[in-house]
Amino acid sequence: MTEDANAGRWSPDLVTARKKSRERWARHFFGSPVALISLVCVVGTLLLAFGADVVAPRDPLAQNVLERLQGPSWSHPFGTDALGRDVLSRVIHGTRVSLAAAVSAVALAALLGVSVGIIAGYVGGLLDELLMRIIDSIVAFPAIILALAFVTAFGATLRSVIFAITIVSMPLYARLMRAQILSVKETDFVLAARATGVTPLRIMFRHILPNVLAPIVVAATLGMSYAILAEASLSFLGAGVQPPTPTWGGMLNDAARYIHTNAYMTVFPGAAIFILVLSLNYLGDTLQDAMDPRSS
Amino acid sequence: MLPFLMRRAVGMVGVLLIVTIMLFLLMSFVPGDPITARYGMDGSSLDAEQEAALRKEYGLDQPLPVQYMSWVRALLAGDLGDSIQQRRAVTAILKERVPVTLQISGFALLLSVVLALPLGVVAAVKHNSAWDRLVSGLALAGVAMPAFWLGLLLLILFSVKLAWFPVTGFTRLTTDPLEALRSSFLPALTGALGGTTAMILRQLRAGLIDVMRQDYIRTARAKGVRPRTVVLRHGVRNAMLPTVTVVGLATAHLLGGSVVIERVFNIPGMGRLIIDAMNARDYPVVQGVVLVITIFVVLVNLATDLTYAYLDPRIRLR
Amino acid sequence: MTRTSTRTGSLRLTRRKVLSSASVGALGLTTAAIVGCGDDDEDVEPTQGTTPGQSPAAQTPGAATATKGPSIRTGGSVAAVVSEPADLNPHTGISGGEHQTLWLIHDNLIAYDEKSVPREDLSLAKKWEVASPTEVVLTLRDGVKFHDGTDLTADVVKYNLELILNPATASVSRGQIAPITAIETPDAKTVILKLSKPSASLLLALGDRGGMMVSRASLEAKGLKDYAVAPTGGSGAFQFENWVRNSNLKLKRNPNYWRTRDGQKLPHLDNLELKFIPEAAVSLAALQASEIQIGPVSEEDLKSVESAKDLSVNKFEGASTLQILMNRNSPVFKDPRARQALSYAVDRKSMVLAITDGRSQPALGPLTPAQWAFDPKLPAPSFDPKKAKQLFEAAGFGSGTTIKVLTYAGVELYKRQVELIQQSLRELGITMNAEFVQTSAVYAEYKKGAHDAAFSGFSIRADPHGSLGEQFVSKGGFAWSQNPATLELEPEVDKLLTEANQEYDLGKRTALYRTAQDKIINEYAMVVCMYYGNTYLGQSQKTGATSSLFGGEGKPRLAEVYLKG
Repeated sequence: MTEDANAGRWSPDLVTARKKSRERWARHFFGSPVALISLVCVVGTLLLAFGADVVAPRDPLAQNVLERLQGPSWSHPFGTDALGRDVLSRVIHGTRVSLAAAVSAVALAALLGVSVGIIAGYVGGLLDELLMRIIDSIVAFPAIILALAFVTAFGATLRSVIFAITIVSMPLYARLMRAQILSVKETDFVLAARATGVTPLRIMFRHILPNVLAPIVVAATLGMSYAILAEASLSFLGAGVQPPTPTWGGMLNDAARYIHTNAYMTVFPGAAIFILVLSLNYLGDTLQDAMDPRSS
Repeated sequence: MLPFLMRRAVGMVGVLLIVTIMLFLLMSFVPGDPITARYGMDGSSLDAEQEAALRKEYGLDQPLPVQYMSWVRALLAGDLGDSIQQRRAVTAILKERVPVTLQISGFALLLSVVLALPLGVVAAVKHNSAWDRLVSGLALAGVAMPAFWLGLLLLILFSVKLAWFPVTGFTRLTTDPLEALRSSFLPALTGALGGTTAMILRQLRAGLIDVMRQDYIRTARAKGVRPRTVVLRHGVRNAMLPTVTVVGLATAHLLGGSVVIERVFNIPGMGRLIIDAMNARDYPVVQGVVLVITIFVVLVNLATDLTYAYLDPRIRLR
Repeated sequence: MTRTSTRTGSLRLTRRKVLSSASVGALGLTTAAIVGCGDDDEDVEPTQGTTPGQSPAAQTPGAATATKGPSIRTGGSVAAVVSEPADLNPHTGISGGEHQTLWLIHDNLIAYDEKSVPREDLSLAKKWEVASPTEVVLTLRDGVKFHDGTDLTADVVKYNLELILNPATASVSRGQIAPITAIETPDAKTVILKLSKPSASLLLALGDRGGMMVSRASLEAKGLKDYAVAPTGGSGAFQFENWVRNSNLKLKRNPNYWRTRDGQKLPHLDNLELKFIPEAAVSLAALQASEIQIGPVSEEDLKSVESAKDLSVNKFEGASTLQILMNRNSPVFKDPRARQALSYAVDRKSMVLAITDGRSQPALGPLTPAQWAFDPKLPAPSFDPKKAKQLFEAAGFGSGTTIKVLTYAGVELYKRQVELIQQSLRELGITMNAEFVQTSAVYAEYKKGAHDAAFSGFSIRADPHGSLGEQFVSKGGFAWSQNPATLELEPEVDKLLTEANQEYDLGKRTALYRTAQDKIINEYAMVVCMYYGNTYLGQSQKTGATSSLFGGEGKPRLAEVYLKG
């Protein structure tokens, strides 16, 4: 914990520590081809999501029933679906929903979770107990069933799906934040800072957040991969984002019934989910290793 | 020990209350109405008085908190109520469904451990090498595929093309153990690959790597103990400790996964029951399933905590 | 709690033992599973049906007794897929999907074949006549026994009908047989129904749930609720054995079944297992793996199985319609021009291609070709986007309009229908937002009137009264149509439909229904998009059937399936 105790003050130890940390990051990211590929995939997906209108060769909603259920060809590199829509364009546009759901859900979960964690950590006492029991309950119960209940109650729309995933993802951030606050709350350093009149907010930003940022970022990348899978499962159960918006989970669900005749139809959305989830997982793992000073 | 257990018991009751209230509230928002769901989409088989009488019978005319309290009161007397859809006791329905899901989930957990153990050892011993990457990659691959897709692919490959396993039908362990294993294998495998194997693998690998760095391992090696003994006897045994804690998480994960798996493999378990019940707003069934699942997960967590404390003398149970 | 060193010794041994069996958690779970199903076996076992005093099947299973017809084996078991019932009591169940199972266990007073023709050789009544417009006389056949050993008598029929008429039973058939005011049973084989008004649809109702007869002894002994899970009092070809929900239902031969086919006693099979498989892909996989011998297939999937030499395709065309109900209270569809526009905007041919791979037909009107009142001379609605746009604009809803529609969640057919029409409207500049709601809630949501239209389907009834009358009559019909879709329909239509129901002459009824249909179509009360059928695949090397696999209304009737010997 040398870094935060000396925050703002430069010393030879600190410089070495920072240099070592940079080296560590470089080594983990650029030294491993897998990590690099994962990074490229994730960034690439983000770019696709923003530029979908430009990149996609056709309108994802344009139907052509005469060309339905065709295999990959020059005019349709990924083939067509049951209504003759271009699968490639739909997969590209699908990045928007998948990423929107993943990013929003994780961002909201982090925000909500961190807030709850802060309140529980600082205030303590009965409020802490109550909040933590609620958090425990959310964790205790299988996430997908809770998410399903949420979507069943509030309708199968993107908003409900995002909220549902937010609720089930939130506990992790709350616990992380609360643990960090609790561990720091009683240290001499913080007590001294409080005694000298440093506001809690400053303590938060300078000392607590930098330490909790690492695990939160790692949790966020893994959370995003979970969100994408959750959306796919919800679509399978009929509770996902509804047509005509193309979503990977929805496309996979539609294609599942053709698995006997046109197995390839499941390949493209399935591969998209697979690649993104895998990349996010690898990224998360690499981040975790990179941020851990003990890693070799 | 006793104060610890008491605290946990109180905690469990708290969690049960919160979870059941949460689901109860969510159910109240589901559009539609259990009476119309059961007695006709258009209610044409009921006239106004009948509908009112039925509503009264199921307590649907009461405000929500009252409905919840009467459910709790009945629960304390051992009565989980009647399913509105099936018009029979919820306890009877649960008795049919719970063993089914437990059979699949239990088998899945077993498979996860069987798969994760050797793989985890290999990954840790050769960590950061190609083997490590491969193993972790394989485990992750299972997680990265949506469970229903994985299940369908396994079904097509092993049941249809190879005919090693039956496509449909579910046999219980008590009826015919061999057939039960056959019919449960693919769903259990899907569940295992869908996250619990990776979970256990990750934990075991990390734990093992940690342990291997410890001084006492170095001492053992210096003493001339064979590497294999070191790894298996000292390494794995000690790394198993944190791995045990994952069992609790894995249980919740498996029970959640059963929802999708039971649909793909056509298994009459709790997962399918709760989906149908949620759609029909059959709240006695929903509450019943929620109760069972939560109790189960909490108990498993308690068991793992106790096991962990029992195995590691350094742990103090608070 | 801390541990002292003296205890560590014994602990280490235990730890080693525990740790080396890596499956701690798993063992616990599996043990729990075994223990959980080990005790209280009778509670855990699925519901059983026992028929006291019933002698086992006299036929030797597997004996090839081919009298007439090609190698019809008597005996054996077949597994088939049907849609899962929720309630097996004909008088309390509500779903149309339950008939497939109910018809195997129960018989109807008047039964209809696949051409919607009432047939005495399939009915419990060997004769029925309309003695006067308000009096129907049924003569029951002899020798019909229920599965519990009791006989079919006029008293039992009276009991059943009165049960349905009793509001406390909450039977969906009550409205359909409501015209019955009195039931007389002058002797054990005669039932006289006295009606308050003439009702042709009553005869229809006797072919549906309203006429399914259940043993009085069983109903009284078990009560309605328990009968619904273990229906042991039917008179049908098969007897109930057991039912595991979400899995399967086992039936066994009724050795005293009264029906014969070509001199052979029915049913042919010893056992019939009904499996419930919701996923189409899995059902097909089970068929290919020979785990089931008969299973449904959607028209779309036919292409992939047609080339299979050992699969026979049995099709019933025109079993259902896909349609759009428009809310005539909504600002958009108040105007008949807007309703007409929607009809022009629907590309029915594409829809047929997209939904059934071209294996069904665009709809001409609410009646399908499988119904006898169908009018093949109706003009086919045309697909004319230009005209649609003109009409929408004339009604004041040009580009930029948004409409809100409702449909059932989780039904592939409606989802496709929605997507196709969303696209058609999009090309006219109209945005259609769809809300997918659970089946049980759709009607309630629609009734609230917040949606402009609802996408649904309607399966045919054996009698046009069921299709037209129930959907369009202003009082007492199928509530879907009551509001807000068909309010203020031309009063003429009401009159025609009521008259048609009170007329017994087939020719006159046909004319009346056709006239009513014309008006309904001209009013654009709803947009009927297309017809689609039911298709069942059978393993032709192994199984066959001595009748059509379908009954009235295109619902599967599997009673005459046999194994090839």
